Amino acid sequence: MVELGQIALILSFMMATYSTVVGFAGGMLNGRDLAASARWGFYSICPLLILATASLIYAFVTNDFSVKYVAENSNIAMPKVYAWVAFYSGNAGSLLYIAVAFSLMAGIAIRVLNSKLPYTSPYALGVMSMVLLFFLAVILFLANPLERHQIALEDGQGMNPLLIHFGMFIHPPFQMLGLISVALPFSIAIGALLAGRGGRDEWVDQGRLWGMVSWLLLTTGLLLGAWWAYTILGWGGYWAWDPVENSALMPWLAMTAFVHSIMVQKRRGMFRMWNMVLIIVAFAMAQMGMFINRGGPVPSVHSFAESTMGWIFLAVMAITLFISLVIFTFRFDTLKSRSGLDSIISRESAFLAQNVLFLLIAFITLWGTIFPIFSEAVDDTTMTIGQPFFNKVNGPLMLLLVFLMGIGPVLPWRKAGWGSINRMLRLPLIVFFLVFLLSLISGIREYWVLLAFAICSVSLTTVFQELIRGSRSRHSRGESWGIAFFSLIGANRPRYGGYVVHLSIIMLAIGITASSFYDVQKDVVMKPGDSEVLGKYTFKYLEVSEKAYPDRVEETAKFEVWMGDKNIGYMHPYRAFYPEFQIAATRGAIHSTILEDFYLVPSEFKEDGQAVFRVLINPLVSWMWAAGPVLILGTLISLSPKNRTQRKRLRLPNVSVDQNPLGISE
Amino acid sequence: MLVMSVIAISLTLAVLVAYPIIRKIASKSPFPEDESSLRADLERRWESALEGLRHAELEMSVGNVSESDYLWLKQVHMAEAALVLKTLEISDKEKGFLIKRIPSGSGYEEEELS
Repeated sequence: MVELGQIALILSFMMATYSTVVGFAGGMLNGRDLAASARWGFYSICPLLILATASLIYAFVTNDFSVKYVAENSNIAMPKVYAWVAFYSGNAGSLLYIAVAFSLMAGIAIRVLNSKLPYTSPYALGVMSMVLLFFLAVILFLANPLERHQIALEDGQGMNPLLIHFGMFIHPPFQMLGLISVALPFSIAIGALLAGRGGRDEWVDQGRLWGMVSWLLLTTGLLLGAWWAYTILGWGGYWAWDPVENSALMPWLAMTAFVHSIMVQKRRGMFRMWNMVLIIVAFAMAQMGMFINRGGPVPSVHSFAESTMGWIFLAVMAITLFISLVIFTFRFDTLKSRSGLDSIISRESAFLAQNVLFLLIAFITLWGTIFPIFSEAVDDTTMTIGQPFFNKVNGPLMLLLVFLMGIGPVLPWRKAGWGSINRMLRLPLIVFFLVFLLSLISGIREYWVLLAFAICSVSLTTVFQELIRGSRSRHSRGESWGIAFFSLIGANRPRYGGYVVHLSIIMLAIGITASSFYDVQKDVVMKPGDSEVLGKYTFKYLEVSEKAYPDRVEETAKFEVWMGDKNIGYMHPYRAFYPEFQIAATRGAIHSTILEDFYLVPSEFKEDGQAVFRVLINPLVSWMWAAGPVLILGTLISLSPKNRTQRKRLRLPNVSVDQNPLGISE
Repeated sequence: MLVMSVIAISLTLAVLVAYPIIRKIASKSPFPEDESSLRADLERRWESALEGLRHAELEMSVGNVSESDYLWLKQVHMAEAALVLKTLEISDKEKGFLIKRIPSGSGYEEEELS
C-alpha cells in the first residue's frame, strides 16, 4: 500500500509538471485541445494524491512503523481515531494534506473557470499547477511522508501530546486550507494578467467568489485556533500575537481588504491595480505564514510542523513576488481604473480607507513578527516584540476599522449628500453618544473601552437600522414582518450576508474588548479541603485523583464551585504528563455563561495534592465563539447563488459586436 | 499486483491527457464566448448600471438616501445604461470614444444623451 502511495506521488508530480507546461502552452498558442488536455491532467492529480493519503493513513492505522513519518508521529498507544490528526501533525504529512486539499479545490475552481473565463482559464490553470508542483516537489525530494526506515521499529515516538484533542481534527485542516486557498484568487488574477485580460474586470466575479471562500476558510481556521488555545493550552487566553498566530492573521487581513475592494472593481471598474497588489500581497503573506510555520527563524510557542525547510518557502515567496510584480508591471497600462472617485464621502472612499488600514495592520504585524531577525542581524541579540506592542499599535487601528465597518456599508456608491448622510448616520451617532455616556455613568473609566463599546454600538445600529428599514419597506407593501425580513435578505444576499458577517465581527470586537480589559486573574496555592474566593465565585478544592494511561499520567483535581449562593457544580481541571516527550499538558476547566467564563487551570501537583491553580474570570469570551457560526452563516448567505427570479435579468439586445475580437483561429 | 496497478493507473492517465488532443474535442466545438470581447465588457457594464439602479431604488425605498441623491444616482446609472445601448449600435470608430465616457459619472453623460 505504501509503495502504491509512493508511485501515486510520483505520478501526481508528473501530471502537475504536464499541466503546468501544457496549460501555459494552451493559453499562449490558443490551443483549446492542449488546454483541455492540461485540465484533465490536473483533474487526475487529486485522485492520485487521495491514493497517497489513503496509503499513509492506512500505515498509521496498521501501525506500520517501517514508514519513517508514521514512526515519528504515532505510537501503539495512540487511539486509532487520531490517525487523521497524525497525518498532518508533522511537516511532511501537512505538506501532503495541503497538496491534496489544494488539488481538490483547484480542480473545482478550474472546472468553473473553464466555463466562465475560457480564455483566462489555461493561464490560471498553469499558475495553480505551478503552485501544486512546488508542494509535490518538496514532498517528493525533501519531505516524503511515505519514506521507509531501513529497519522496521516496534513502536513509534508518538504524536505531540498537545495535538491529541478534538479541536485538532478541524483547526489545522482549516488553517492550512485557508492559507493555501489564497492561491486560488491569486492564480485567477495572475492568469487574467498573463492572458492580457486583467484590465477589463472579467476575472472579478470569480476572483471574488474564490476570495470569499479563502477568506471564510482563513477566518474559520483563526477562530478555531483561538478556541483551541483557550480551551486546551491552559493559559487562560486565546491570542498571544505569537509568530504562528500572526502568520495566519496577516493573509487574513490582506484577504479581508481584497474581498471588499474587489466589489468596488465590480461595481465601478475602479481599484484594478490595487486589487492586483492586494491579492499578490495576500499570497505572499500566506507563503510567509508557511515559512514561519515550517522552521522559520522566528521563535514561536507552537510550530508543530517545524522543519529546516522554511527557507525554501521564503525563497519561493521571493520568486513568486518578483515574477508577479514583473507581470504586473508589463500589464500596468491595462490596469488603469475606468473611473475615479466622485466624492470623498462615498462607499468607495470608505472601502479605500478601510483597505489602507487593513494593510497597515498587516504590515505592522509583519514587522513585529520578523523583528527578531533584524535585531539579531544588527547586534546578535534576539529581541522579540510582545503582546503590549501589538495591542497598543494594532488595537486603535482595529477600532477604527470597526467604525468604518459601521458607516461604510450605509454610505451610497458614488457620492452622498448631507441629506443622505443625515438619514443614515443620525441614529447611529445618537446611539454612539448614548452608549458612551451610559458606559461612563456605569463606571467604565478606561477611555479605550468607552470608545470601543461606543464604536461597536455604531456598527450594530447601522446593521439593525438597515434590516429594520428594509423589512419595514417590504412590510408596507403588504408582506408580513417575517416574510419581509427573510425576503429582504434573500433578494439582496451579498449585501445582507455582509451585514450578518459584520454582526459577528461586532460580537468578536465586544468579546475581545471585555476580555482584554476586565479579565481577573489570581494564582492560588491550595491543598485539598481549601476554599478560595475570586469575584463572586467561591471554589473549594476537594481532591486530586491520579490515573495512569499507556502514554501519560493524568492528575485531575475536583473543585466544587459557587457563584454567589448558587452552587454551579463540580469542575475538573487536570494536568497530564507524557514521560516519553517530557511534556506536561494542562487542560483548564471552564464554566461558561453568556456574560463570563470562570476558568481554572492547575500547575504541578505535589504528593499531598497541593498545587498552584491559576483562576481567571474572563468576561464575554463566549461571544467570540458564538461569533464563529454567525460569521459562517453570513458568508454563506453572501455566496449563495441567486434564485431563478433574480437570474431573470434584463439582457442586452442580441446585437453582435465582435464575433472574434482577438482574431483567434482554429 | 503492484506492477499491474501501476501500469493500469499510468495507462489511464495517458489516455486521459491524450484523448482531448487526439479527438480534438475542444477545437471541434464552437468558440466559447470571449470574456474579454467588447460584447462581454458591455454586458458587464450593463449589469453594473442595472445593479446601480436597483441599488438606488432600494436605498430610496428604505429611506437611506435623500431625494436629490436618489435622482442624481438614477440619472447617472440610466445614462450609463443608455450609453451601453448606444455603443452597441454605432460604428467601431466611435466605440472607443464613447466607452471611455460611460462610467465617468461627472454629469456630461447627460450632454451626450441629449
